[in-house]
Amino acid sequence: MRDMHATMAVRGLLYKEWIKLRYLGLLPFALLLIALGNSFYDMHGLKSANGGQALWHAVIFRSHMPFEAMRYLPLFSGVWLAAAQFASECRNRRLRLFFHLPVNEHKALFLILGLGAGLLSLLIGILCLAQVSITGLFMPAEAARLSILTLAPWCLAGFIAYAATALIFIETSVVRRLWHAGIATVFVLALIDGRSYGSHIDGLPWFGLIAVLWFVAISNVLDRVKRGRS
Amino acid sequence: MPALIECDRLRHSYAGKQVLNGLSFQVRKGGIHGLLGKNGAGKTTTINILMGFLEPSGGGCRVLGDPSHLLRPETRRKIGLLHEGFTQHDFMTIAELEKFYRHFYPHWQPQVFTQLVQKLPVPSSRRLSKLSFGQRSQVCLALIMAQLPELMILDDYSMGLDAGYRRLLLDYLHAYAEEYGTTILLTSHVVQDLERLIDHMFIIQNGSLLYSAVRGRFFESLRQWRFQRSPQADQLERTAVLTSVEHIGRHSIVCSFHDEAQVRQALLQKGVMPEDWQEIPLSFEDAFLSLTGKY
Repeated sequence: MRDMHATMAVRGLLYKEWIKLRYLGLLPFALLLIALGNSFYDMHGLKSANGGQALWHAVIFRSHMPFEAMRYLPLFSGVWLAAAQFASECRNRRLRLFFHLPVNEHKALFLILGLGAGLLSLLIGILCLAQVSITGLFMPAEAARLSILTLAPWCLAGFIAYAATALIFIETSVVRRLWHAGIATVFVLALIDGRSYGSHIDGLPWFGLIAVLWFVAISNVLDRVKRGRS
Repeated sequence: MPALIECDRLRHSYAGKQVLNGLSFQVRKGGIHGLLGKNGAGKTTTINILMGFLEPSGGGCRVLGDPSHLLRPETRRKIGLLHEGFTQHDFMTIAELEKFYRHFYPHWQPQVFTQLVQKLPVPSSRRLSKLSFGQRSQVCLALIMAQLPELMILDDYSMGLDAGYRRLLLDYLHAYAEEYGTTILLTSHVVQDLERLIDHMFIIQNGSLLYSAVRGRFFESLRQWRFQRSPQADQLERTAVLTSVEHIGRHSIVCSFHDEAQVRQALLQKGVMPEDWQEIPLSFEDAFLSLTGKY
């Protein structure tokens, strides 16, 4: 009986997330298509106009990034998806509706976060695969590998932005919100600021750990907000 | 009869201001219970504690046997909660709300929801944000009624509703409580509709219980007298005998749970010689206001 309740509850929670994301969740994917098109035409244009050597020269010696438009895409997508999921859930004390649902609120929260992070992962997966394919069309495999290493910190910034935005919406204290936003901005700027290929690769595991900590922090904040302690 | 809600010496404060000050009461199974009080009396804070949205700074509260700040999902499933201001997911349509909530409640009664909602002159594909406040109240009530809860808690159900919607809501509640035997606790600062509805009332003021009575005994011995105003009468203050003292125009008005002779004696002791003395009948609302004060 308990399993049946749990299954039904999961279906209910997923249904609500689907309602929130069915239209709003499409925007990051539409932007991804535009960014990929831009990357393709940038490389195609350089190669057609000046030949493969010019493209190679631009990428290796001038650190030209044909996929520059993707620098902010995971970041924007993280903020957008979290806002789509949590703005409607948290505004005007609506989080109390969530707290009153007959489910374990931490499990339910991680289901919601898992869905958002999953959607972001899907977007990032498509982004990386498509970018590797596009780079592979015009350049050797080493360049494709380098483009992935360059994209990785930007993608991680997307996950930190997603978790931080969710945290800011759940939080009830303005001061704490500003604090979370400030800390998140520091990490995100550090990750997306690299101007050369492969920046931050050595520090990436540490940034990954920081991203995980952001997700863990959400659970603690939820507990505090539920008890009315701001 | 077991108590579904037990509050014992509840205390709570916001930023140093004491909102609940040793509030104790019990809600027994069955019937409609009113937690009444003026704005700021501590009703919403009490409900927030009952539902686990606030941890009291002192005292304790149990709901269906669980400590209120540790309500298990199984316990929450038995409680239908109408949030203050009819808070609900207003990005959803009426139909989507029904489909969403039915996943969480094994005893969900779709016909109860439909019966109430189909009376609205709007399609079920209408978003909640596009409904009037009254229509919204009906959808919110339908959502908790369809849960078939053991305990229903309505936090300030009357807020923002005109007399028509208030009456409609109370009529539905009354019929529902009779049919399903649900225990209902409601809070309100509008009391004129409640006399015929509630079976037990708790009046709270300044965060503690001021008065409690069962149906048929509401303000049973509270009476009101009017007499000619005088300089001595203007000096009168509330006492153990004089529950309320008020001066309007050329008259002074006193209320008391004591009998007429004791009230006159109390006035004489204060140097007041009541002239043109007459008893004024009290309505439910008059009695409530006499007890809690108009200011």
